[in-house]
Amino acid sequence: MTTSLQRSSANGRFAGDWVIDLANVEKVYSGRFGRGQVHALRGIDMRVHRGSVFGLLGPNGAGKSTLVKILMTVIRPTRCEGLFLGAPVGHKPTLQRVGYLPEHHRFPEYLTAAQVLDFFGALSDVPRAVRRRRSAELLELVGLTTWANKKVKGFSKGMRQRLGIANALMSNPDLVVLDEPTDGVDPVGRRDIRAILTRIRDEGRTVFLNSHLLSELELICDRVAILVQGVVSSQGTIDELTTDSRRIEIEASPPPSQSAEAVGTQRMLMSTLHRLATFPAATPPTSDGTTPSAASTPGSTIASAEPIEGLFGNDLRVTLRPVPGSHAATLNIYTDDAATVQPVIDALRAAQWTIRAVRPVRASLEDLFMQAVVDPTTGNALAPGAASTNRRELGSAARAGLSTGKEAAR
Amino acid sequence: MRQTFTIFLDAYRELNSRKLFWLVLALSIAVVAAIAIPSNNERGIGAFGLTADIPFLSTKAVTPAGFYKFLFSWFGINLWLAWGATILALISTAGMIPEMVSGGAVELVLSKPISRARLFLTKYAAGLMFVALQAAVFSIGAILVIGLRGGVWDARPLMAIPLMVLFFSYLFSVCALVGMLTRSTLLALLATILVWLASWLAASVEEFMLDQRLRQEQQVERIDGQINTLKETLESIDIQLLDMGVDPAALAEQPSDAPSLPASTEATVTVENASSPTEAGPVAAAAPPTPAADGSPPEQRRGSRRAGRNLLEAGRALLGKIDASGGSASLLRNRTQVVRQIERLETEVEPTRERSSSTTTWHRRIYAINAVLPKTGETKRLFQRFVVDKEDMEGLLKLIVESSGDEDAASSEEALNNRSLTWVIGTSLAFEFLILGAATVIFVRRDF
Repeated sequence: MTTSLQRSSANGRFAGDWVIDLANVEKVYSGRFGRGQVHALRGIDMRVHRGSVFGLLGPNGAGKSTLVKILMTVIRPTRCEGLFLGAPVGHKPTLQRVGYLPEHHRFPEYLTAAQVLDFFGALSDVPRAVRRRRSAELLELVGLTTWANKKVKGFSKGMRQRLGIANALMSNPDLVVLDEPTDGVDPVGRRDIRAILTRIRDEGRTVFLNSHLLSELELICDRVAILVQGVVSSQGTIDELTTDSRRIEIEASPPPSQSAEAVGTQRMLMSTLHRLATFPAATPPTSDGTTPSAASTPGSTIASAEPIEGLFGNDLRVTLRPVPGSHAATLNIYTDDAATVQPVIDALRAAQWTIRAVRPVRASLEDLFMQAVVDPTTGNALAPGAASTNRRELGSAARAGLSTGKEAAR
Repeated sequence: MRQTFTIFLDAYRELNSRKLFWLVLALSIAVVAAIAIPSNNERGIGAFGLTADIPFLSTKAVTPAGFYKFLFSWFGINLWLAWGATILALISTAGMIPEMVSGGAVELVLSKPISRARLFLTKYAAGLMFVALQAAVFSIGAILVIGLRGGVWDARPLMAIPLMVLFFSYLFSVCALVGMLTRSTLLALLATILVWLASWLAASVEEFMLDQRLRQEQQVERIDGQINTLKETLESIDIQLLDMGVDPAALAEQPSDAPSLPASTEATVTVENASSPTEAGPVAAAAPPTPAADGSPPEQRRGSRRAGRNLLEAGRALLGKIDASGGSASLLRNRTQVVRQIERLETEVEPTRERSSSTTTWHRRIYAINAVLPKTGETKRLFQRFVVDKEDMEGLLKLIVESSGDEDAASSEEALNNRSLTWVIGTSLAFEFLILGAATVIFVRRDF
């Protein structure tokens, strides 16, 4: 496709090249007779780069679909600043450059797959000849060529979803907005859809994904925003968002002689660490070198699964957690610089510890998500769309582990 | 243009998928075929070699073309298009708007580069297209039947297309509004049928009240006319008496039942003949016992009108006789009678006038209600007004009027037929625009 090539050449992520650049998006659903207002969106600031795959995450009721519907003019925002493909949100002609797959979409059952593409293509004002050519191409892309002239009525959920993606691409859009594209699709279908999305991105289009399937997003998204209770709690690239949690994990076990002494593993590890460095730790060892928890259960191999935290050297944060059911322990060194870890390994080796594994680790999207949506004080998930929690609280909750949306965007 | 065409095409596909489109079309053709079967002959209606004696539909009363026009307007339009086809069309199209705004479907169309107002109104127009197609098939069928069987090629049945679309559009606007608000086909249908019933009821009551109003106004007019006639007679008598040197003013003060002068038998007999109950003379004419608002039976009123004329003739005859005899006695006696009649009529005209004005007030109120509702019935009537020739129907109409024996009924009919297009279509369209405007505004502003 020549268009694809042209797009690829134009595919560059440079600052200011935003497809979506929104500020202060608010939506208040007024209840009947003015009662029971729901503050679905409470000031969204969001930017999406051209040519990227952008993932919008959030628990149910966070306002994801509301935000997408505002972009697609299905819902009118209470307040909305900024630009959507260079035009204000709600500018109808702009929508010709946008493909959209709504959540739980329902195509007219009396149409065939080809007719669906033709009908919605025509509504996007795509000329007839182009519609014909594109619908054939797209049906092939989503693997529905043999179903082109079958009525949608008989389609499975996965086929409908594929058709929906084809439909979103009918008008040769710059931006494709997909609301739960893998919803109800089997693993094979999901992999196919991921491949299609990557291909769309490679063609230079921007993909805006709305999903709560974190593993899916993690695989394909360049950038994500986490929406909690109508506010962007964090956004940025997955790398940016996981900086704080990046670490190097060392799995090691003490020398057999020590282990045979039936000393509590934890106590022993602590003493090792104590020898490794000066230790202004969060849980400092007692004068006899045992931790309080280890002291209460002397002789046990595993006293507690609670990690012990301390500093190696002056500023290298280290945590230590015994591996349950074994004499081994896991050390987490909070750095992504391999050189920094070397002295720790040297120290362990000097103490005759066996190094079993050294690997870099970062928080998964799921970890990030959980951090964002779980109330740090209670440990419960935040209620969806709750109007009681104010933005400030949310912001601080988000900052606990992540940079805030604005910081990440600017 | 491409988008508009697409919405129309989709509406066609949607209707097509429901099969009802073809069912209604087949029924329309069946109705046309059924109308083409009978023909009228000298005795009445013939079909399959049999003849039914229906004189008012015989060739003596109506031309063959007129006969088919009659069948089309009474059965084709009044029964099939205005009821059967409309109900089926409502059932077919009621789901269009709710289907469009249903969850999962509405996002797909609203996210397209087409304004919401245009989307909604195009979809609405697509619903009307259904009816336009049905009406087109029907009216072309009508033209063919009237041409082939009646021998007159007349394109006026095509008027049925815009009229039918108009008629349906009043109802469909309600259907679209309720369907858009509730997303329920069933509620949309129910609401539409309710509005239809309401407009039919309002129109029926209004027509009845109009009929009453006209009857009562005519009654008042008639009595007033009689009083005037009697007053003229009185004046003539008074002139005669003055000529004879008698002062009627002085006489009027005397007790009227005391005959001061011998009567002329001849003259008395003449007057008595004129006022005899069989001929419904002044007594009967002046006193139609009509306390009820709906007036007296038509025969009696027609009789009383005739009696008014008889009275005048009797008065003239009387004067002639008096001239001939030259006797003032009989003149005076008759004068007394005339005075009595005037008094009686005047006491009677007042309650009638009051009744009439109260009927007028009520009619105006119902007329006002009717004015804001769509005029489905009157729109339907327009077809007869435009398509059916008076000449074709002359014999038929005369027979209908004569058999009902009611000239006043014809006059209310006439009043309805004389209502302007602005009234019938204008007020109905105002209703439609209001409903459709509200629906469009809500659709444009709503969150889906």
